[in-house]
Amino acid sequence: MLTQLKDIIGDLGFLSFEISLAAGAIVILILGLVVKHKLAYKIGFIAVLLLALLLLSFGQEEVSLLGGNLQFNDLGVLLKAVFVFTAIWIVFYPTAEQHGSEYYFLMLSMILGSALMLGANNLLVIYLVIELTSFASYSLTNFDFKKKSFEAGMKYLLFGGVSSALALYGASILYGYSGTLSLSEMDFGVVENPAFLNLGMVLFIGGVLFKVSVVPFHIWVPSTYEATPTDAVAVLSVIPKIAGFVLLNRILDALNVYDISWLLNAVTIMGIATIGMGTLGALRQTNVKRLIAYGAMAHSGFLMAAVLIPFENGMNAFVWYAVVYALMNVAVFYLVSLFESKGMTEVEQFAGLYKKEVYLGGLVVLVMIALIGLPPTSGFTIKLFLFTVIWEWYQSVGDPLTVSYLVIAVISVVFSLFFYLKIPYQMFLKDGQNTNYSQSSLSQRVIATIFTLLVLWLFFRPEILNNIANNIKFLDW
Amino acid sequence: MENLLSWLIFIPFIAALVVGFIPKDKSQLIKVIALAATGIQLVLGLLLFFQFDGDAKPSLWSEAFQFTELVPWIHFKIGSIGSLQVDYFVGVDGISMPLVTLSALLLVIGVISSWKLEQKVKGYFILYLILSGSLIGCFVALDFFLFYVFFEFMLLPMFFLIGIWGGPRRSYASIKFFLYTLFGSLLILIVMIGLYLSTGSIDDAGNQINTFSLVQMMDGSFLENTLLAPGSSFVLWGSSLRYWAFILLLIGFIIKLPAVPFHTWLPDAHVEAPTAISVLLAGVLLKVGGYGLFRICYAIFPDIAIELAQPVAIIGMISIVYGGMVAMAQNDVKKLIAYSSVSHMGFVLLGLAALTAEGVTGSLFQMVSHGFISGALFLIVGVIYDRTHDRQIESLSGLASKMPQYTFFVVLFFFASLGLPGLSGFVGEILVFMGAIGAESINGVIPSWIGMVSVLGLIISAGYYLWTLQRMFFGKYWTREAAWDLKMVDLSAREWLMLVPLALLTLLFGVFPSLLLGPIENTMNFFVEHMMNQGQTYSNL
Repeated sequence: MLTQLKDIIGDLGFLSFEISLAAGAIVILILGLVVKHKLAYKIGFIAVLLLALLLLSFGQEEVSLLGGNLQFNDLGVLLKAVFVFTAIWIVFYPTAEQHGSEYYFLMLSMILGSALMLGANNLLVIYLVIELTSFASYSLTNFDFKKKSFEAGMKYLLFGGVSSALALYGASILYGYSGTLSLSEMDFGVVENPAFLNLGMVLFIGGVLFKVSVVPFHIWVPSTYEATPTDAVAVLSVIPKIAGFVLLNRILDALNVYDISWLLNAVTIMGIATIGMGTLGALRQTNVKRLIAYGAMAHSGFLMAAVLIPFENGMNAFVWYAVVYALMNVAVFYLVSLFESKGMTEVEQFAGLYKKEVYLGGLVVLVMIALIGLPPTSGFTIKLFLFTVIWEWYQSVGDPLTVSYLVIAVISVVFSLFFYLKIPYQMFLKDGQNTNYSQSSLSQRVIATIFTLLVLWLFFRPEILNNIANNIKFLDW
Repeated sequence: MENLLSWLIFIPFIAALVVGFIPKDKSQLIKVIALAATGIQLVLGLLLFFQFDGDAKPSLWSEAFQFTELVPWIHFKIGSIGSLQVDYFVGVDGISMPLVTLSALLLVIGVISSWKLEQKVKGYFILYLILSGSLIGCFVALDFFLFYVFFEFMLLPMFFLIGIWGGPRRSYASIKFFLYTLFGSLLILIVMIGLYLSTGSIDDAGNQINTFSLVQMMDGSFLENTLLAPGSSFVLWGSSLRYWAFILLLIGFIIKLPAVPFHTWLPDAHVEAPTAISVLLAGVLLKVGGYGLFRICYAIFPDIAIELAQPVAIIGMISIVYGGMVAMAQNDVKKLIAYSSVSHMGFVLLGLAALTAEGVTGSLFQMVSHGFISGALFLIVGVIYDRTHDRQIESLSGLASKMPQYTFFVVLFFFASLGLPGLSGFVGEILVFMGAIGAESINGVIPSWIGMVSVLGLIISAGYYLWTLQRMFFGKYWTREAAWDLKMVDLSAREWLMLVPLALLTLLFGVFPSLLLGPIENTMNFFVEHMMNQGQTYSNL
């Protein structure tokens, strides 16, 4: 007992990132009771994230913590840094003005949950971190305090609740068959009639797929994104999703799904369907945020491909895709929130905006072509890498399903041109009156420029990110 | 001159940057900068043409290129499979050199033709200059990645140039253009990745180094039993992967060319695009498709090119005949010329498919000559459109008596386009027919009936051009609206300036085709030899 306690205390040093987030979240909540000035919360939020980032830079090795319940590696370190980078900008969003301290508390809780998700190695821990992330997300959805938000939040909560319950049921079946909660030690031996075990696997994996908004678990996404404050969407569409995919990869690996062809095929088809559904859904959208939300769903399908590829390059491509996806989302949602703060939420409202805002318009074009995946943006680089690993996947397994993945992905890119260009199209090609439109400020332009330049820069100098990605050692299970 | 090709590519980009910093009310200055930049490009382009060594006889693609520049760009290890290697690698051979010079010429003419533009001048010329640089980049890139980047990079400026400065249905046309070409370029992207995974070398330490180098791909330095290596064991839906890759590339490039049935974006884009952009679109952009077929689709997949020669030739034949017949039915002069472009690009496909020296030489000659002629034809339509804002054939008649100088150029270019001997159009077409009809006895890849049926195209084009001449230019002078009468003045000095060089070149290359055939001869012979030899070797594997 005592040695166990000692071990736990010894391990806490490696958890400094998570601990600082948890402590920081509570401090900000208390700060909210004492200080009424909203700037204080923002500064506190930035301070907590920077502190966490600083502490993160110490523990770089591969560790197994708390009796094997958490296992971290370099990949986790990189992705946690990406999380901080994604989240820290939300205080600069024009839509972030009215948020109170509890908003930042929830945000930090969500990042904490996602960070733990990267290392969770125990069925119950997985359940807990998924719930932590989800509950924070449900609440964040409601922060516009409008009827639409409550509706979306309720939808999200109901779907999320049901899927969590089913996942928990699935976990209990897995526990029953293997006799252990530890993911890395899970071994089912020889099962004579695996139907019930298969059910458990499907339910458990389904719970994770819900988090990463893979078809058919995607129904909550568009309305949730539309109703949620834009700064929160920028985070919601990146952090839990990336964490969820890492978790999915680990689960697929631990449960040997890569060798269970029917299940692997089923998940692959879901990935393909996600690309298709996201793309087709986006075509008809007229609301900017819904459009981006469907687009983000299609991106989920792309990320999914990288996760499904059963060799190291798959995860390499995943890291690339995740980092650039985070960058692009931060950039696009920042621009969306800029226009939103001026009352522009529907695509038609952008008509003829080039007269007032030609510079931002240019940035919008660049970010949109990055989301489509055209050069010279890093959006192209990641599509290139991903298509490359899908080719290799085909080269190694020779399964036509992998070719279908490639084909659907390519067709999706063509369609995505159509919807992502809707906004630039309205801005530059249509004529309209924007009499009430007030120009963006210099600081807003500077921030938007930084984001866009980052998206471009990684195209011209990809080796920087690659050096990091190559130094990551992947866990052997 | 050192770094000639880099200057050709980057001068317009630098000029675009400079224009970006000029206040938008100084439109005259912006135009002068654009003219200067493209003017320098033209000088460099001519320098390239005259300094190009046409006597060199290559025996490998790696020896075929001149003015080469190689700067490492992206080099890093990616995962376990090896190294990613992307270079800034440019150079020209007999295939790309004439196209570069042609582009440089048409780019200047395009600026002159846009001189009277008054709306949003700054944006227009920034996009125009970006397009100029990317176009040249596309023709000189010897790294597939670099080629692809330039190839894609042309789309966006073109989209906005048509979409913002175009005619009434500009948004429809620009989106359609973008979707079609993007679809094509993604097909190319897929093959590019496959080729990248299949091409490269193993260094002394046993590491595999993959490369995007087009030269290595053409020379066939494939890694053993990789996806697209000849004789590899990968089979998809009953055919080798190389077969599918060739088809994807073919579709990708004939969308750009364009050939039937992927041509429908072209008439829309042409009709809506401003005159200068139409000139570039017909004169240069379509050639990127033809160039891609030569450089990538054919030179890298010679075995499949021979196997599929007949279907490709038939697509060419259908384009020639069908494009011509549709042109005949048009009432809008611009649309007529757009469809005639489809018909004329069919010759490019037909000549290439024949894989004889005459055929491929004719195919390239046709591309250059069509560049002059179609550029001029769109300028001619622009003349009418500037004056009347109408392009219907039936709106005007008897222009010959009112605008004799104009009519002279119209007649000249119409005849050049329909293939009158002594003008450049004739040379390209006759070479293509010689190649296509003679192929059966030389290499046997296509039967001669395809070429014979295609001759119909000449009669059809004579039909629509002469009919148009008769309806619009001869007979009694008449305009549909009386107000136009005042505006019907003959060519201005600016219009002369644009049309004269093209007219002279059309004549010059028509009378002395060896001016062009000389420098490209060796490359063309090598191309054919490479196709036949390597094609044989690959299919025996």
